[in-house]
Amino acid sequence: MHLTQNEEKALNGEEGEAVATAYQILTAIGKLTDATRLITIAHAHVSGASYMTIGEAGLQFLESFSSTARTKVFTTVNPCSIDLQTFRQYHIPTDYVDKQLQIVNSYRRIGVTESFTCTPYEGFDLPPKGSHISWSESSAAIYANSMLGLRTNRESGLSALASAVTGKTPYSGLHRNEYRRPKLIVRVQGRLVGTMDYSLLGYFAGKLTDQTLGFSGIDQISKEEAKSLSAGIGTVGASGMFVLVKQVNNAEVIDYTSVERDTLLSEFEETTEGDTIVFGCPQMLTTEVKKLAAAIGKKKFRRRCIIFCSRRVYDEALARGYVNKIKNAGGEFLRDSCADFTPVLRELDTEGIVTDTCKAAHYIKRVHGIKVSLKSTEEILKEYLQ
Amino acid sequence: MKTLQGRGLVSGKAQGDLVFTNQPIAFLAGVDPDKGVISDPKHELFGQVVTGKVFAFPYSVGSSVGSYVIYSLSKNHTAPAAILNMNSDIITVSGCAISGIPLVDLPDGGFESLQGSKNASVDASKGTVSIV
Repeated sequence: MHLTQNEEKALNGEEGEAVATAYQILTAIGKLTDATRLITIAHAHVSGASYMTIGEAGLQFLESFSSTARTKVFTTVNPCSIDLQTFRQYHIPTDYVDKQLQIVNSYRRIGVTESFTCTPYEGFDLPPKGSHISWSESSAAIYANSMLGLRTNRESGLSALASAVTGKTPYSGLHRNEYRRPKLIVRVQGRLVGTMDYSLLGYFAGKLTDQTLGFSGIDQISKEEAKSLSAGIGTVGASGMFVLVKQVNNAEVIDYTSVERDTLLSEFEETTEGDTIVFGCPQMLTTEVKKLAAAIGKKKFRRRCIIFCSRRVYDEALARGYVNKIKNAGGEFLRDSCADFTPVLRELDTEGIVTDTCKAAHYIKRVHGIKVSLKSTEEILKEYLQ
Repeated sequence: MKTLQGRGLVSGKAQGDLVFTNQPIAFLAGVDPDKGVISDPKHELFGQVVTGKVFAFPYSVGSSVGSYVIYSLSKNHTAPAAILNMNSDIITVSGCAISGIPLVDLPDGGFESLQGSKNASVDASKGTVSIV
């Protein structure tokens, strides 16, 4: 990969150690992806803000990195692991909170916008279609490529951070047209109903290829459905984009029928009634909070129900009256945090969790060892509202 | 002994027992950074130690935070001695780059021929892998 004179100097440490590290990461990726040069990006989105995922090593790295590195481009950040306004109401060990806050403060020093969301495509001014961005958080990167016409590779937490402080990314992969065409098509037979169905499809398709995926048999897709599909793909796969296609042409075709769907769903089957409901993995969009409020009507939750959304979505939903309606029914909101990696779940002492996406079921089971039952949003509401 | 030519993506030299899988690796919630062990019960290498080994897997999948898990393995002294991929990816490359873990990928073939070998020595600056 060719570096300009200034880039070369920065790699050699002229802009400090942190920026040099950032260029080391970018040049290694340039070599991997056969990039010929670096390009300027319009937005970076970094993951790696939760103490539960990046641990002591990540904390130390960011502490040192943030002493000199500053963002050169608009940068949003993924959820951390606690609601930064209400964490004192939960029994989270002080030591843990301190570590989490150190990480948050490092990101503040670096200069990120305090989004703490895995859905940075809602609530922020996005660059125009066709713009080059550098987003980690697999579900958001897939969503940006597939739904917004933005261009990003599936960046890692570290590579997106490298882009944030240099304003650059290698010109390769999904930044280029030829990688955005699907080579494998999943032929969806039968109708998909509700976001859980899209989540299952993603979980199935993600395992098939690390290249762009095509789906036939889906005429249109809503924001909420695309979010679930992207998260399903991201959880188990390496593909960074999907496209809806009308014809399969010469591509390799794999069928997805009710058989594949039911087999996959049965893999998630756990013998738990579930005494806690978790919604919002990825975090809920305003439209989803609105739908939830409408579905509640005059009913109340029979079980504890925790809802994850960004502070932006929360504020908007609060202004529109959805939040109070859900709270009155017994719902509980956690902002800034991730449904899968939060000490709040660890402290629950729960029999089991009921949730509506594969991503949540996949991680909660593995991270907390809690039994998880996967059900559609509609089923959960029918069963647990009275 | 057989020598394979690949691409050295993060330079360095290492030698060790080979741990091979054809299944992709999810680092977050799939590899325990404290123990250096594959922790995903659905993976064929479940329970396998990777610390100090030459760890061969096709590519990584899953969370973008996986790069921090690789860094944690390195800081906790539980990391593989080197990583070999079929088609490497951004998570693995960026994690190895800041951790100094030698990384070679073998996109032009040869990855499968690693299977069954007991030991590998890696020279990532030349992009070569010698297997016994």
